[in-house]
Amino acid sequence: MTKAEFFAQLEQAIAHLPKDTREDILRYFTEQFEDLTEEGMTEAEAVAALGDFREAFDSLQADTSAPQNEGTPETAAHTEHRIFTAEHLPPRIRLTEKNCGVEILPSPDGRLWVEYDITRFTEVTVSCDANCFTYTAREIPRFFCIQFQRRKPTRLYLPQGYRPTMEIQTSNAPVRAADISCADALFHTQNSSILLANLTADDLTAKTCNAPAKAEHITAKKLTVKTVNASLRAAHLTAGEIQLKTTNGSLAAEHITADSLDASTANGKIIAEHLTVPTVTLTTSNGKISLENADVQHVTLSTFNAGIHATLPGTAADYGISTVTSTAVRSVQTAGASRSLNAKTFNGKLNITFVGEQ
Amino acid sequence: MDAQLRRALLECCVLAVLQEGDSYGYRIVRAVSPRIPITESTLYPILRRLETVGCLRVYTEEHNHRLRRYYAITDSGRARVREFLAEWEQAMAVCAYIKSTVPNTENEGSLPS
Repeated sequence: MTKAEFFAQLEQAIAHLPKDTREDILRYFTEQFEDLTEEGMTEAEAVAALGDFREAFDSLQADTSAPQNEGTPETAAHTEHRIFTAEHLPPRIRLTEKNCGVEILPSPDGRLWVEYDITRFTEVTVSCDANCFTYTAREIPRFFCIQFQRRKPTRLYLPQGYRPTMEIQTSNAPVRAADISCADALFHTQNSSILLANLTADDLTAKTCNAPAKAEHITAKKLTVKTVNASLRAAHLTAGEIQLKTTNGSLAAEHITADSLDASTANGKIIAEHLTVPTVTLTTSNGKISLENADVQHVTLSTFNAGIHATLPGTAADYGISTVTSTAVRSVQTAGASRSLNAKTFNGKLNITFVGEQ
Repeated sequence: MDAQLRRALLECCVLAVLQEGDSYGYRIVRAVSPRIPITESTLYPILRRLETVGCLRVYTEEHNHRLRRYYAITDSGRARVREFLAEWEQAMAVCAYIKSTVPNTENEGSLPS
């Protein structure tokens, strides 16, 4: 048989296989053929030495017809756990993960280090220079298998007293940060929850989508928490400016001391209580707004197909209220008005009580 | 030989060859075939499976103005070989027992009475 005949037969025999598999098999046999002829064999001798090419892919089909997922013994435990410890504490940390949870925790031993899993689908590079601690996880495509292998969450440990600027990013997996302090920080994931607890920060931003976000016991100069299509809960916050945003999910904001609070959702209710915040803006549609135990001065409450229930300090006069309808209350800046109130809804009841008048 | 057994032996044989150093298709066949029959065709699914389970990794290098794929054993692969050898110690112990229970009719005549 000649080389051409061999490869013609081979191509015909593998025509039904997926493209990647076909190309891989052809590449393999071409390479073997060249190695054999390089060793001095004739075409016919090389063809004979290659053997029955059907043996190459008959069992292959048997292997790939069974579901090759992370649950089979073959693909299960092939993760390697690694640790990288930084020699010093740089001002910046950039951690980029994919399809793997990230946890930022306090370091038990005063050093900055990260522990993570690598698998045959994921490669990680970690480095630390004078300016930045950089961790990047990269996915490696492989043939013949479903491209996913579960890894334990990547954990970054920050020593006490270390306050880096952080950019923490992952996708399709949760982000948790607890009991740490930092300078400016951005926590970003998708389709999975964010939980921030017991943090001290400067400018802190947490963003996700399609999953709940929770921020509790946070002290920050500026706090922004955003999600979409999920609930948002923010409690026990001390901050300058706070922005909480979601859609299609309820929003709970409680025990907050801040300069300003802007909370908005759509198709979800807003429950705000125990606030010591001079400027409060609560916006939703298709969801009720409830504001209780609030030490506030300038209040804006807006919804559409639902009621507003608010108990505000002072008396109506403090707010310089000019217009009152069943669905809207508006203040006008008058000389005597130290506070202001803008509340409106459409298909809902307005229920505003003033503590000073009770 | 049983197909499963042959496959397990071949896989570990290939890994053993790679433990001595990175290699490529032709050299692997040459190293393994004195011990157990193998051709490039039968080697292919072995290499693919070992790569799938992370026992070896593949890289490409230039050779004589063409690209050649080399295979290197990984830590998982080394662990697999150790596991295999441990299993075989056990298998051989069982084998010794089985052998001891089989009446050895051929040698009866030569045993000192």
